[in-house]
Amino acid sequence: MNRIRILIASRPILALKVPEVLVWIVLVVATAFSWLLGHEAGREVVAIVIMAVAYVKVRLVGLYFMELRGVVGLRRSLDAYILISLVLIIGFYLAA
Amino acid sequence: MTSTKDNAACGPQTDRRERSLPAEAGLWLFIFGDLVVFTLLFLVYLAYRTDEPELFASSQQTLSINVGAVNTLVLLCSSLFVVGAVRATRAGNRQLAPCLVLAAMACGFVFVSVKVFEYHDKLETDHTPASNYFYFFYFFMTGLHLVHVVIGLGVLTFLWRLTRRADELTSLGMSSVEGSASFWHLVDLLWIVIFPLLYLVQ
Repeated sequence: MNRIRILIASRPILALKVPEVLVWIVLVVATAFSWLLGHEAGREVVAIVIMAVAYVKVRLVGLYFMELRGVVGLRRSLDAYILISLVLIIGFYLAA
Repeated sequence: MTSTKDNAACGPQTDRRERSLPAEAGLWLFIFGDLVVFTLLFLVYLAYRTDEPELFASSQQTLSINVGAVNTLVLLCSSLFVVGAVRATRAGNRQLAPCLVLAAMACGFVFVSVKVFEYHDKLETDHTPASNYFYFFYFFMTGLHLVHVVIGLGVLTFLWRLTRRADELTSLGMSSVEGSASFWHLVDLLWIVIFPLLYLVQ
């Protein structure tokens, strides 16, 4: 009962002031966008956009959920990883 | 290094910037190593795809985009619950934090259940890892990810036990909370790339 009271007292509307909640909404919208694009399969440009969106999502999870925003070394490592992975994946995809 | 009491005083806004990372250096090495291994796996998959693009495309048609997308949303929800749990732990809220970890674990179990159903469906229609290279990579990649999910559920159990002492955690305990949360986010992060690559990109 106490736990339920705490959950109610946490006022869900205030959650919108939390940056991670806004990021989560962006992630869900991006997932829905890729989901819709997935039905347009077969075109190269669609595949590239889908993979680019995926790595934007990776960056958001890294920066906001894993909290790498404030850790310069790790943030740069994440960005380097994303950039290299995305370029290689698109390159290998186009080589088909 | 700050203690949890300091964290509570600063409110949930305090993050890693307040702490140095040496205790977690090993974890970050593992996370980045894991990410690199998966990227190499993605590249090998794409390299094999160049040999048989039609076969890969027709095999891909048998996967359900909707099931994959739902599982993506399930993991995104679990990550948000874990973020909430970390914030509640920093605020010293020993009631709310474990509840949020349990919610994340429930999402993890939903993901595993959907995956088992998906595997069963594939095997029933005679699509096995031995069918062709697409299915081999499909089972290998999703299977390797599933292992991460199962380990992640164990990590979340550990996190749940920590959050029950949210108001008396030392800085090392807080570091363990953050490390556990980061591992779970890694599970989410890997699926964010595996889903579009296997299900959507043709």
